[in-house]
Amino acid sequence: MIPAKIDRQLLKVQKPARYCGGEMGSVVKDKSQVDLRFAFCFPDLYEVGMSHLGMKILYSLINAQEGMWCERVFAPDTDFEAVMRREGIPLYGLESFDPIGEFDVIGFTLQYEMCYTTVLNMLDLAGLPVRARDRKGLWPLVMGGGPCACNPEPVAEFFDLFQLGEGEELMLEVLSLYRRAKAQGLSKEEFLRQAARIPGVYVPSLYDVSYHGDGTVREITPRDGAPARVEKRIVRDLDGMYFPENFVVPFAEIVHDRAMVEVLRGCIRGCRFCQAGYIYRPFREKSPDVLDRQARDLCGATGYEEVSLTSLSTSDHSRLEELMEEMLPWTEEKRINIALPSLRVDNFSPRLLEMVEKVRRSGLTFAPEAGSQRLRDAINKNVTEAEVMDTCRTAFEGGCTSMKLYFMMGLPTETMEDMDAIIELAQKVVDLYYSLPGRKKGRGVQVTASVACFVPKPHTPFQFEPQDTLEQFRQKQKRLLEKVSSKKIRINYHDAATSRLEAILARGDRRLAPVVEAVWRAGGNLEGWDEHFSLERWLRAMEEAGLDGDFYACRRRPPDEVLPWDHLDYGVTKEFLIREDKKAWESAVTQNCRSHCSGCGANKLLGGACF
Amino acid sequence: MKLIRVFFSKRDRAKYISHLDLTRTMTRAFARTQIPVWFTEGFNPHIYMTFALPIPLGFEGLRESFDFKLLEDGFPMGEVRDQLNAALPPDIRVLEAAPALDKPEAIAWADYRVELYDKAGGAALRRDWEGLMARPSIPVVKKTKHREQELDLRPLVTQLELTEGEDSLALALRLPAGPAMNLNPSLLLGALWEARGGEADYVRVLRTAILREDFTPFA
Repeated sequence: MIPAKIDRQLLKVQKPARYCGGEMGSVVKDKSQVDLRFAFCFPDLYEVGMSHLGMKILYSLINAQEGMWCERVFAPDTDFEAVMRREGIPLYGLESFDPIGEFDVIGFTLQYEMCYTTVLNMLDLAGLPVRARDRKGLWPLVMGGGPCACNPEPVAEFFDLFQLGEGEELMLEVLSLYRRAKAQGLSKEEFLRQAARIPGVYVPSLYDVSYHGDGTVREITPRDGAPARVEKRIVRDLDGMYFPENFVVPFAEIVHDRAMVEVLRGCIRGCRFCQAGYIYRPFREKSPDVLDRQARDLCGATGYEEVSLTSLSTSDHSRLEELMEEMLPWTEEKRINIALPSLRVDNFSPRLLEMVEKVRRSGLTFAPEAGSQRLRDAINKNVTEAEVMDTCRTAFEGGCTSMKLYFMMGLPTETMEDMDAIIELAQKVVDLYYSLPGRKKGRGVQVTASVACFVPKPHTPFQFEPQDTLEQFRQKQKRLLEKVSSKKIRINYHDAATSRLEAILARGDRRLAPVVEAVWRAGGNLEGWDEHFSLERWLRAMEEAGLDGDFYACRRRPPDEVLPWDHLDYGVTKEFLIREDKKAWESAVTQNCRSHCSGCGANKLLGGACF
Repeated sequence: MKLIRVFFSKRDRAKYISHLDLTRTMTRAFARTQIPVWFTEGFNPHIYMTFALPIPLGFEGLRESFDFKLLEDGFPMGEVRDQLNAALPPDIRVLEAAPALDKPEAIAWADYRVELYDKAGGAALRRDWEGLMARPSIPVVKKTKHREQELDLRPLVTQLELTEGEDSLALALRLPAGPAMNLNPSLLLGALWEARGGEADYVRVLRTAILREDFTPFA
């Protein structure tokens, strides 16, 4: 039952179904049978967090353990937050409505840098001090994971520990240790010292960071037996790995409301700008039989009308055709749509293409990322213009009259000519449409070029590269608009301010902690949403802390500089990243992992060759 | 193919499920059952499902209904009820499934239980309510998507019961309902807030019955 205190407020806020729980598939346990309570926090709104597969996996995994109860917690929207603060309602778990400040463990998934102030706001709404050192007891222990854990330094002081890499095995190891520590009455410090010995666990308080006079890192020194380098965890065998048989099926509409199976992990492509392509290595895939069974179970349990085959690049699954053959009969019979995001169409057999077209109804998008072949080679986006044209031809012949192309600006080695090439490529796609004989008379084509501002990320070859200045971004955006001469081409771009902040935080160090805190105290929250984001607020806080945004965003790092995340080992070696960055400046491509191993180092996590 | 009417209650937390969300919830509940349900044909097949009198977000309902089409005439009604209940959250309960007797146009009235809570106390709430009801007319503007309509609420409201509590007032009301003329209790509450100069601290609205012209239950 929902407590009256909360119930009486919910009709005063937008979309109350986000705050009342009770969805099919949500897990409610008997408190007297539980000795470990876990609050899984997604630092964004319900509709965003509920779309996230990682959270669903860990929610089910923890709840599958006897005596452990995992609940979901999302950031309240501003209207409900105001009500919570006014009425004295602390942040609660959606399953029990109990305040999460009383839980054993609070886990945040850090999917993007823009969520950092929301994390602090959620801790505060839970009634907890935001700094780890001000939370004295063993509980609630605050841990973090997800992609931003690959350089969590700007938020390190707010967390007790981070889990690096994949959580399916690591999470249970950490929670088992916690359970023993709780039974033995250990202090938080003693627990953390023990936890730091679990491979994949990073306890930031056990590392001292010293700086040079110019602000760069001098040294990162472990203490109390913590390892000098923390190696991220992976699950070697995806077929045997835990996967949920059920999802929480929300009442309210969320961003991705469908069943999902993860067909593979890692990526063979090695696009030099793409963090996911490096931090999730090595490449591993699930067998078609396992995927088919998991998809079927999940659809049966949830009643979803769509199942998505997710991964970084689903068409790189070596047996996708086989999987589709298995899934098509039963999904057709049950009227379930198969969604295939992240497709590369360059490696399709005719039969696979036929099956994909059968299920694919949504609009087509394609990401050449750069306009010129030279720049595509520099970023190692191994796509040729001919392939772009082939994809568009397929789409147009299938009746499509609009095409969305994704690009980036501010990429290393980029010049104004590369901006022009974006428009030229878009124009070629327009021309292609009018050159096709079968097109419907009287119908025009719309080509949208969506151009994002590049953010250099840690653990990628471009981690050494400067980001464009705001002025450079503005000039490039202006150039794009000047160059467009056709009404058939639409240019979409986003203000560079958010990308600037992402670049500061992504490669930031611990000196940014007071900045994150100051921005939150000045009202920063839910900053992934444009209406809540203010770059000025960040710049003000940086100035007060005596820090310079350009130092983090626009500075080239020499190869021998100690980077704030150098003690966090994601398998890929720094030497490899240096080599790849150098190749970018030579416009030299690196082959995909399946055709040739380039020796990135991630195979050591597998204990052998990837292929 | 038979048109089946499912009667269900929507209580407690289920009041936060909007009409659109309820439709989706029911669709997915069907997908979790073995009930042979008819899908519409065409480009985007979906389960045929209509609600005779959709219930607004925030209201609870004791006996709501929706219709769907059953592919197998002999499929037992008890199975429809039990399988749906196993597939629905606890705050939505199927009470009964039966072949639809009435057309939606047969709906003429709906009964509501409206509970008002306020620190001003039950007596004050009652005074405000009775003051409103004593007026010869209660003119309001009813806004729909397409137009605004001036309406006198007073002749439309039948008060069946009134219970005064310490900090509450409970009203049993009968209001016109159905496709022709539907009076949402929110409109009436709006008039009450205007009359007393502010909303009550907390309001609970429960639709207790959906009735035909002759006050017998819609079936």
